[in-house]
Amino acid sequence: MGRENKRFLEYCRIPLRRAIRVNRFKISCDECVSRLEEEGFVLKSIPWNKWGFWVEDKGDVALGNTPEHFLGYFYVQEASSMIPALVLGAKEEETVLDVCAAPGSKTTQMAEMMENTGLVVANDTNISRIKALRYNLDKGGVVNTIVTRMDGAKLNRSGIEFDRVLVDAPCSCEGTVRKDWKVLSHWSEPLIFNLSRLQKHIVLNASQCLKSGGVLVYSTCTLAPEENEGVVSYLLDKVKGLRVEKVKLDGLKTREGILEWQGARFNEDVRDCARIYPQDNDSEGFFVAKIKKE
Amino acid sequence: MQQPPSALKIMNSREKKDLFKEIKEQYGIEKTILNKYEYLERSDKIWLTTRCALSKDLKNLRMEGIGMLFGRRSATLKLTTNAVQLFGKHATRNVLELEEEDAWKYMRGLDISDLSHTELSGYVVVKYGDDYLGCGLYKEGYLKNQIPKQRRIKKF
Ligand SMILES: C[S@@+](CC[C@H](N)C(=O)[O-])C[C@H]1O[C@@H](n2cnc3c(N)ncnc32)[C@H](O)[C@@H]1O
Repeated sequence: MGRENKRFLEYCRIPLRRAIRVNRFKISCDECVSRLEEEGFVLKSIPWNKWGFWVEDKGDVALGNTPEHFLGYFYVQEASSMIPALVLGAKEEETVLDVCAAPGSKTTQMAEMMENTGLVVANDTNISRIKALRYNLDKGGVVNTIVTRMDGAKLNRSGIEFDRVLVDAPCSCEGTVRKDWKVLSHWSEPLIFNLSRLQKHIVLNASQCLKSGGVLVYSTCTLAPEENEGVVSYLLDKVKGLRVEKVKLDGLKTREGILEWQGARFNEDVRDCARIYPQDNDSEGFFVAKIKKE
Repeated sequence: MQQPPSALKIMNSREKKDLFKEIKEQYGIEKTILNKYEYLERSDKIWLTTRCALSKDLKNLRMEGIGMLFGRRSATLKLTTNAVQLFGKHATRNVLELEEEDAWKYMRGLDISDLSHTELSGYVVVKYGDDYLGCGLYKEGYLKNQIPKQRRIKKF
């Protein structure tokens, strides 16, 4: 891993490419792209999402000050953050739970994939982030959502059964060092331990909200095994009838889940989880597990 | 259908019919665009959401919001900025088209004066080219901006 580590750290130092997701409720990809290009931005397709583009600032106008942004024609979202919703694959008329939803980049993406039909219950605990979530949903023209404020570890009390559940868990966000070097400074082992406990509570409860035959995606923007394979392994050992499915998206390079970390051995099935390394796709780091309930 | 908690009230078919009629008269938006959704109201505000959302038992949810804020009743119905951006392209009445320079001003939250749309009065759908910017309040050549502060393009 010596050379890999070096590449990882090199990539952490390069500032991250900005990306957007075009809002299909409001405009076509072609039109949005050509309008932004006319304004001087340089756009490049993201291979794993046909609605996603990397954007290079070349014009005099900031992306956030363009008419297209005002009109909600696109949502600024990091390229790897588009992966969990694609893997979850919500369809029209389904009932979906987004356990940790704010500020809504994945909720809006799922609503778009569902063509604004069915229902997404978009939950979070943080009031100010919920405000941002509601703002983003309204701006995106999203109508198929109910926003709730409940502890993600108690959502089975809702009594609603879901076709699909997304747990985009609160995490130590190692993956996002490229966005913000400051996150490095509040890394600490007790923090990771506490997060890992919270993540286990949340994912365990979320799995109980799932219909049989339903799909759960667990994702984080960190690469710490305690918060990823450790959590999925706990879930698999605790709940029978869950199976990890491989993550496959066109044009995305992923790596297998880690089976052993600091002396702990994980459930063999976590091998099928996907690690997304910054240096593999020039993106943020991410972890995604797709779990199917029998 | 289940009644959601809090004071939100689901519109029945009679109320929806009246709403669609009002929107058709004021903005020319056809019922077929609007009747695939369900509508809820509380005091003067109206939200829209999916039938699926209201088919669930919602009593054990701590709801912070449902669907999208669609409009507000005053003397006539005012559509929200977000509703105009979503449905504005279906409007055929009370549509006010701006010139480029005024469109920029409007997106930044400014009022526009010295317009000459003599046939218009009251709430209008404001557009520029194929872009539907939001709602506006028009009277005698003056367009009063209705875009919420947070939603505007910041000056730069
Ligand atoms: C990684 S962020 C989610 C980002 C979001 N999915 C998106 O794509 O925009 C994690 C979220 O989990 C929320 N959170 C923290 N503790 C929680 C809990 N116990 N239950 C539910 N959400 C929680 C945080 O407020 C935060 O908004």
